[in-house]
Amino acid sequence: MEHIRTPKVENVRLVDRISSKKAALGTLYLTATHVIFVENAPDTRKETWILHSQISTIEKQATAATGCPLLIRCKNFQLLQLIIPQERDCHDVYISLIRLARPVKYEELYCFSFNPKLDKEEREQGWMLIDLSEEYKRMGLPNNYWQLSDVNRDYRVCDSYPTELYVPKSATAHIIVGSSKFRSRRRFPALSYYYRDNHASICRSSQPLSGFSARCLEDEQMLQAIRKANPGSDFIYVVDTRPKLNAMANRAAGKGYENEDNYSNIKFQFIGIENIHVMRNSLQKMLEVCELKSPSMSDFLWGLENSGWLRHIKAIMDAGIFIAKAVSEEGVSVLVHCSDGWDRTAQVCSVASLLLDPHYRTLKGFMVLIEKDWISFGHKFNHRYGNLDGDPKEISPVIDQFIECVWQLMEQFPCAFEFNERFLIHIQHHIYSCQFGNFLCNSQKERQELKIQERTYSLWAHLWKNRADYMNPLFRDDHSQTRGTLRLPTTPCNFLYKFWSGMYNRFEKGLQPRQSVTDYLMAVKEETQQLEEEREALEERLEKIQKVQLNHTKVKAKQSEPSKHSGFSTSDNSTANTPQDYSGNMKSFPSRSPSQGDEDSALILTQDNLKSSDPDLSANSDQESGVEDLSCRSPSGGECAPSEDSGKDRDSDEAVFLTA
Amino acid sequence: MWWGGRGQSFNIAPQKEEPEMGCVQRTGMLEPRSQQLDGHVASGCLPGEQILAWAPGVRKGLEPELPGTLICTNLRVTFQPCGWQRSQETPLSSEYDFALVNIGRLEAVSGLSRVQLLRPGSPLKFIPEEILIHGRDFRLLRVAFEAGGLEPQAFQVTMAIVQARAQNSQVQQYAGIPLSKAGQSTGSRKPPVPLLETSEDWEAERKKQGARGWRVSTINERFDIATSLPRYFWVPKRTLDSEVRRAFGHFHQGRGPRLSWHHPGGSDLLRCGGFYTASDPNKEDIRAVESMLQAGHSDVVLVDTVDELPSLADVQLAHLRLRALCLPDSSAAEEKWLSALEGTRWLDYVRSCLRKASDISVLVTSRVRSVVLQERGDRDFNGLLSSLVQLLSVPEARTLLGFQSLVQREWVAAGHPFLTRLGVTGASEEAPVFLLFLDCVWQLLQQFPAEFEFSEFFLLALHDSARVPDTLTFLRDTPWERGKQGGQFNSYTQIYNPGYCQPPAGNSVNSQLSVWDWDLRYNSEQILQFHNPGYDPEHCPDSWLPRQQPSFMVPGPPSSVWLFSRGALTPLNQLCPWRDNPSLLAVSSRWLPRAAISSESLADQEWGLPSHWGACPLPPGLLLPGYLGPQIRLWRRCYLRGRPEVQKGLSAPTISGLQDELSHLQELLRKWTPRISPEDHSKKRDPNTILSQSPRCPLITVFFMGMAEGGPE
Repeated sequence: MEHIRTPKVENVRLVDRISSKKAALGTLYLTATHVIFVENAPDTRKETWILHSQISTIEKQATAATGCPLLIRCKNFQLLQLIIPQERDCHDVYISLIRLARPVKYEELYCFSFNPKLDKEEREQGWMLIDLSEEYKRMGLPNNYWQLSDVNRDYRVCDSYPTELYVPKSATAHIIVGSSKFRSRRRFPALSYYYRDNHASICRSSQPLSGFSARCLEDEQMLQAIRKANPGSDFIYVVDTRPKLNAMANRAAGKGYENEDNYSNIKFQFIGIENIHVMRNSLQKMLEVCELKSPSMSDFLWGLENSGWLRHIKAIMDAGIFIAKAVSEEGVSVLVHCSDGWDRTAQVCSVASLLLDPHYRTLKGFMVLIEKDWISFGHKFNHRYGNLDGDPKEISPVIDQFIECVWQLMEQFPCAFEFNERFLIHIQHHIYSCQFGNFLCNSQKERQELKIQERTYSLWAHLWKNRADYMNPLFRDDHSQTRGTLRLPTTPCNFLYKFWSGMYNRFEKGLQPRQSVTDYLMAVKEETQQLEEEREALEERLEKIQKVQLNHTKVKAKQSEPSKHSGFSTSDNSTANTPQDYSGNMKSFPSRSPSQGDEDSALILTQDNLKSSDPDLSANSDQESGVEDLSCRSPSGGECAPSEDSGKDRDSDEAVFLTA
Repeated sequence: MWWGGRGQSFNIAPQKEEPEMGCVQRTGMLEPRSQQLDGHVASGCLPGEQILAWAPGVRKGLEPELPGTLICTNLRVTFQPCGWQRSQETPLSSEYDFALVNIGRLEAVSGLSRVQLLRPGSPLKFIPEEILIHGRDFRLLRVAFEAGGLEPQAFQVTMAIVQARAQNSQVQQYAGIPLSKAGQSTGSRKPPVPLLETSEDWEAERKKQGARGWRVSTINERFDIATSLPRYFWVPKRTLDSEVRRAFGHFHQGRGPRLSWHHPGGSDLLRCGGFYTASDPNKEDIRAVESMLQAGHSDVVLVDTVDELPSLADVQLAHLRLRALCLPDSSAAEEKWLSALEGTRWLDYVRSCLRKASDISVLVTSRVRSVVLQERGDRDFNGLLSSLVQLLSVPEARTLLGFQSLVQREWVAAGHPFLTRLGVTGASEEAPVFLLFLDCVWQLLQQFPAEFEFSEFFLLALHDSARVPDTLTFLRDTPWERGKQGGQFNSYTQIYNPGYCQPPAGNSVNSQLSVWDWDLRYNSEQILQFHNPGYDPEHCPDSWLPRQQPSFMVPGPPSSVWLFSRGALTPLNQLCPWRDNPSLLAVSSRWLPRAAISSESLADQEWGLPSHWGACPLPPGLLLPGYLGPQIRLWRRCYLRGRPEVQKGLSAPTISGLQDELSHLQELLRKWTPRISPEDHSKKRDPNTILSQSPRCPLITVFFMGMAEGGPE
C-alpha cells in the first residue's frame, strides 16, 4: 500500500492497438494487487484487470499534446497503452507500478492474499489432487530395477532436488553421493520417466565436473547402474542438450560433458538447444513483431524468421523426439543433462514423456507431468519468470517454450490430447500470475520452508474444478493415431511449426478468427451429452413401463406359465445393456449439430415432463422391482399386485405420451 | 515401337504393337494378374481413351503405401490401387487420376540419380525405380516400381507418359476429355447450378437479388456487342437497348457497365472495362455512359480495381515461385523457409485482395450508392473483387449453391479467360487469378469458420478441377466459345456409353456438363465432405434482415462522384474522361475523404465518423476480414500436398483414413438398427433425434481436425 502514490486517475484513455481512433476513456485505479481500468461508457463499464505480477515492463513515452503515454507490457503478452492527461499523474503511476511490479519478498505476492473462499480442508484436498508417488506407482515403480531412495532426505545431498527420488537398485548411497559430488550443483542422475513396456528409462542430471580430464568412479558406476536397470540394452544414451561449443566452453570452468572413453557402454550425443539468454532475446524479437501496429506480410514473415523462435522450438522438439525414439523403438535408456539440468533438461524430458505416454496427454496427466519434471525437480520458477525482483538476466521463457511445444503437438495430433489450447494458455498465465502457490520459489525445499501448502491454494485444483472449459472436443483415446507413442516424421521440417497466434496475440481480439471451432464443438458435445442422458432416462422409463405392462398381462394370464415369464425378463435385461454400451461409444465424439429452435423447445418440454413425472417414476420402480421379485418367487405374491399396477400403468403411459 | 526408340540407351524386348483405337486387349506374355487388371482398366475407359502403357507399382508418400498399377493413357495418367474398381458413376477419380495437362514436372529416380524428363526424345539412361509426377495443382504422384522382371514395363510406362504429355500439349487440350454421365437422359437436363445461359436464369437471379431498378438486356444475344460478355446481362431499367449499344462502344472491348450485384440495402455494385480513351463520343453517348454508371444513384464511386493489386504477370510469377517452393525438394533452406515464402509474394497478394474487397464492401454497405469496379479488361480482378465483396456481404453467397452460382456468374459467364489464365493454351498471358481468388476464400473460411456452408474440401475440389479438362467450364475463354461448342454438340445429341468407343468426330467435351457436376469426379462420400459441419445455421440467409432502404432513383446528374484508390476517396469532377465540364457535377463538401492512413481500414474511417451509420457499427451479415500479416495463412492442405509429412494433423483425406471412419460408422449403424425398429410408438422420438445426426458425427471429427489448423506463418 505504501507504494501507491495515486490510487486513482481519471480521464485516462486506453488505446486500441489496431485502430488508434477507438480509444476508450475511463478511470485508472491502482490497488495493492491489480491495475484496473474501468471504461466510462455507461452501458458497458468494461473493466480491464492487470495483476502486478504480470507486468513485465513499464515504459513512459514522450509527452504529447493529448497527454502522457504509458506503455505496460505484460508477461502474458498483453500490451496496454494508456494516455494519462497529466504528466504528474503519469509519473506517479509509473513510479508506483515499477515498485509494485517488482516485489522483494514472497509475502508481497498475490497468492498470499488471494482467497477463493475455500475452507482448510478443501485447500488441503486441492494440494493432494496431484500426487507424485501415485505417479511413480502408475509407471510401475518400485520394481526389481528401481527403488525409492531416501538419500536426499532433508535435502542432504542436493537442495534443489525433491526428497523422494527413484534410482537404480544397484546404486548404493555411496555411489549416489559420490556421483553427486561430481555433478554440477550436486544434481545426480535420477529417474524422470520409466517406460514399463521395455524397461527403458529417461534419467536426468546436471553436467559432470569433468573439466578436461577429471573422472569419478562413483559417477561411472552410477551410469552403469542405470544401464543395468534396463536388461534389454547393453548401452545407454547420454544426451547433452547444449550446443557442443557451449559444452566445450564449460570444460574450462571445470565442468563439461562425459568422455565416452571413461564411461563404459555409453553413446554420447549433443543436441544443440541454445541457452536461456539466446531464448530470451529470441522471444523479445518475436514479440517486437507482434507489437507492430499493422504488420505487412513481409514484416511478419521476416520478423518471425529472424527471431529464430520457431527454430528453437524445433530444436527442443527434435531432442524430445530423439529420446522418445531411443526409449520406445530402440529400448535404450537415456540420461539427459544440460548445464544445471533444470531448464533444457526439464523441457526435453517432459516433451519426451509426452510423446511416449498417453497419460500425460490427459488433463490430469499433464498436471502431473509439470509437477514432476518442472516443480519437483527444481526448475527455478522464481528466477526464470521474475516473480520477485531479481537479476533480469535470469529471466527466460523456458516453460513457455515447453507449453508451446505441447501446442505444436496438439496441432499435429488434434485427437491425441484431452485438453485444449485454453488449458495451456491458462497455465502459462498462472505461472506468471502468482495467484496460486504451485509455481513459487526455485525448489521444493524453499517451498517447504515457506509453508506454501498451508498458506496458498493450488492451481491444479482450480483447473480441475473448471475442467469442462479445458476439454478438447476432438479427443479420442481409442484412435489408432493417439494410442501409445506419438510418431513424428523422421525428418521434421520447419513449416510443421507455426506461429502461435492464440498465445502471443491473444489479447489482440482483432487478430483472432472471429469464431472458435473449439467452442462450437464443445457446445455440440455438451448438448449431445445432455441428449444422451435424456435418452437413457427415457429408455429406462420405457423399460419400466414395459415391465409393468408385462407383469400386468402376466398376472392376467394366470400363473400357469412361469417359464415364459423368466424368459421375458432376461430379454429385457439384455436390451437394457445395449444403450450403455452404445453411449460409451458415442461419447468419444460429438454427434449432433447445435440445436435449432424447434428442437430446443422440444427439449425443454421433455425436461419439464421429466421433472414433473420423476417422483412418480421412482416410486414406480421401487414397487415394480418388488412386484417382479414377488411374482418370480411365489405365485401367491402376484395376486396383490394387479390393482396397484394397473393404476400406475396408466399414469406412466400418459407421461410417455406427453413426451412423445 | 511407337515412341520410336529415339535416344534411349537401353534395350527392351520389343513389345506388341499397341492397337490404335479403342480399349486395349492385351494378349500373351503377361502374367494373369496383369490381364485381370486390364479388365478393370477397360471398364473404366473413357470413350476414345487408349491405354498406352502400364506397370505395377507401389504408390508412396501415403500411409500405408498402396500397391497398384500405374497406367498411362492418351488422356491421363492414373494409378489404380489393387482391388479398386472405378465406379461407373464417377468416370474420373479425383484421387488417382492425373490429367496429362496437369503434369507440371516428371522425374525418374534410380538409386541416387534423378532425372527430369522433358521431351520424348530426351534419353533416360536407366530403368526408373521410382517415378514422380508433380501436378500443377500441387499434387504429387510418387510410384515405386516393382522389381523382379518387370523393369521393361517400368521403362515403357515412363516413356509413354513423356510421349503422351508431349502429344497432348499439341492436340488434345482444347478438345478436353469426352465424358458422359451414366444414366443421363437425353437432351435437357437441369444443371446443378444455373449456368446463366438463358435469359430466364438471369431474370430469376435478378428477382432473387431484388434488383427492381434493373432489367435483363438481350442486346448481346448474338454476341455482337462483345464475345467476351455473356448473352444476357443486367442494365438499368430506364436505359434503352440503343443506349446500351451506344455506351458500350466506348469501353475497352465493348465491356460497358453492368450490374454485378444489388445490395439489399439499396446500393449497386457494377463492373465495367476501362474507358476506351481513343474514342470520340458525342454528347448523347456520354450521357448514356454516365447514366449507366450512375445507375440512378446520386452518389457514385469509381473503383480503380487494379490499383494496389498485383499485375497479371505478378500473380503468375508468384504462383510459379510458390509451386517451386512447395516441391518436396525445394531449394529453400529449412530455416529460410518463411522468408522464401514471403519472397513468393503470394500471401501478400492474397492480403491485398482481401483488403481491397473489405474496403469495397464497406463502400457498398455504408451508404446507398453506385459502386463501379473498373478494370481495363474487366475479366480478371473485377471478377475477383466482385465475388469477394458478395461473399463478405451476403450470407447467401456463402452457401454451397450460392457460391457456385457466384462463380458461375462472376467468372464463367462474365468471361474470365480460364483457358488462357490457367495456361492450358500455353499463351503468354497465363495468370492463375482464379486460384488466387480461391485462396482468398480459403482465408475467409479460416477467419469465419461458422459462416460458410462449404468446406475446405470443396475449395480444394474446385482448385483441382481447374486442371482437369473435362467440362467446358474451365476449357474456354469466353461465353461465346462455350456457346459455340454447345450448339455444335446439340446438333448431334448423342449419348455415350462407357465402354463404347466414340469415333473421333464426336470426341469432344460434353457441353451439358459443367464443373458443378461433381459426381463426375467425386464419389458421394467425398461430396459429403463439401459441407462444412461448422456452418452455423443461425447464419442462414433467412435470419438476415437487410436494412430497409428505399432505392431512390434520382433523375439528375450525380451529386457526388468519387474515385476510390489507395484506400481513400477522392472527389472527381466528372465520371468520364472525355469531357471537361465539371460544372455539371455538384460535388458536395459535406463528406471529404480522410487522408489515407495505411494502418486503418476504410471500415474504421467510415464508421469512425458519427454522422454515418450512427449507433449500428456493423450491419449484420457483413464480414470484415482481417488482413494483417499474422492473419494471412498458407493453405497448407492445398500447396503442401506433395509433402505428406506436412499433412499430419490436417486429416488429409486419405482413403485409409476415410475407411477407418467409415467402418466405425457402419459399426455404429449396425448397433443402432435393431434398436430403431420400434413397435412401440413411444420409443420413436428419442432415437430419431440422435440417429438423424449420427451418420455425420465421425465426419465432423475429421473435418474439424482440419479446421483447427492454421498456417506456419
